[in-house]
Amino acid sequence: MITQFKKGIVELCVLKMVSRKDMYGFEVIDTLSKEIEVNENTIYPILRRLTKQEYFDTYKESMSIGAPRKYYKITGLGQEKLNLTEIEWKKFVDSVSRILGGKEK
Amino acid sequence: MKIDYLKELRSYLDLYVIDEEEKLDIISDYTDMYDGWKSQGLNDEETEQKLGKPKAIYRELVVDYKKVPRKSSKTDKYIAISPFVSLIIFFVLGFGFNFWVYSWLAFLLIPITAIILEMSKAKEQHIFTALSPFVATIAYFILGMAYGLWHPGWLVFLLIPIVAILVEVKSIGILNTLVSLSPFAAVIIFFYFGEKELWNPGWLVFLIIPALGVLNEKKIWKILIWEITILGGAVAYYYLNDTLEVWGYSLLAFVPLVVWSLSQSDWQVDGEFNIKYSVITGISLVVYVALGLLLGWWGYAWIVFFAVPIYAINKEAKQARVIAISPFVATSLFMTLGYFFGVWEWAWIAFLIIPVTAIIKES
Repeated sequence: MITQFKKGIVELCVLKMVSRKDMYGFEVIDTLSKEIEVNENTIYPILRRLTKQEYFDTYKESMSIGAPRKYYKITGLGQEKLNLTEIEWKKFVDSVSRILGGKEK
Repeated sequence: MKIDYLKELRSYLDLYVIDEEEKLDIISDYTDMYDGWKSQGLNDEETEQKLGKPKAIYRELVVDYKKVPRKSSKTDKYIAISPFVSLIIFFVLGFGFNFWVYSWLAFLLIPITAIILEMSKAKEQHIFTALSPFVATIAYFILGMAYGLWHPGWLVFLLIPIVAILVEVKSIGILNTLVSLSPFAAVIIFFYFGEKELWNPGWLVFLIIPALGVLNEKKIWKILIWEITILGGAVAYYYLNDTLEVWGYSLLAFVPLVVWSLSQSDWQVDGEFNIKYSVITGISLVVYVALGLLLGWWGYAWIVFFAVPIYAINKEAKQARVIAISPFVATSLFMTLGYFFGVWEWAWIAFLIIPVTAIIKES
């Protein structure tokens, strides 16, 4: 798959997953990698970028063992971005399906 | 190890203009990932394989950032000037004093300058190891040309692996340093006896290698048995050799040592580091003696001992590794051209490999 194309889709998936529940980095990778071939070096930069763009907030939660975990939580801005991207994505998939499957509008 | 992994990653991030908070964020993420995989039952090696080596992954992390501009160009200027300085010295010594035979040594100034400036900048402890081939070459030519001591003058090249081992004293400890140095001491002493036609029993000096090596053994009583069988064997051999004058039978003095060695095949040497160094040194020694005995290459084959410092640099040096190894490649080429083709006056060009390597690496 083309890297940039994949990055965009992965970004949408990450937004969606974190919108459902707050997640920590490793949990995002673990969940996502069951469906899509991704690695840490792709996911963590996305998480950092989305945080920087204020789509995510982060907070730490202490653990019984080891260092505290950094959780990602979607913000209002992030939710808006997700809604918009989801609409764009659906439109895009519909268009591609029509072209590939020969569906009429 | 997690700490080493994160440190290495950090060192790559430091090459780019990234604000401190962002860097700490990245390191914190990788700490999470490392812990995450470890908690899934992976060991350090498997975790690092999963995450990817810092050298392989850092480019993905810095894709939106610019490289930190090089602060000082003084180093480059000095390296760039060194060929001209060398050329001037070469002509001054040649035309002014008719020292053409020696004056080409001035060109060694080019790699020496590059190594000193590049490696001191990287704070590499192996700077002395990288410089040692030049010191040895200069000493070798002074001994050879001025005093005709080509042999045993070549022994100065043993300085190179000796320096490489001495640089490691702190990390390997005094005992292991002595063990690693013992083969070189043995070779020098062996040739000293050889010059006096005492090849036999002069070879007994090689027994200092196992005699020192077994001091790593943890149980005192085992050390005692080792030392008794080694040193006792040597004394008995010498006595039998001297009185019976039949050296073949005198070798029977080492039967107890052989029997004891076979019974101790699982003895523990302290530290993986020492084992690897001992193996490399041992193999080098065997190859050297084999080439010497079979082909008579005593004055050339010593370059096999470069395996020791090359291994040390490759294992220990984090940066400027290729630059540090290049003197050994250059010296090997220099010796090969000189020894087999007699073109010493051209062979020094091989040393230009070093600044060329430094320049290519930097670019």
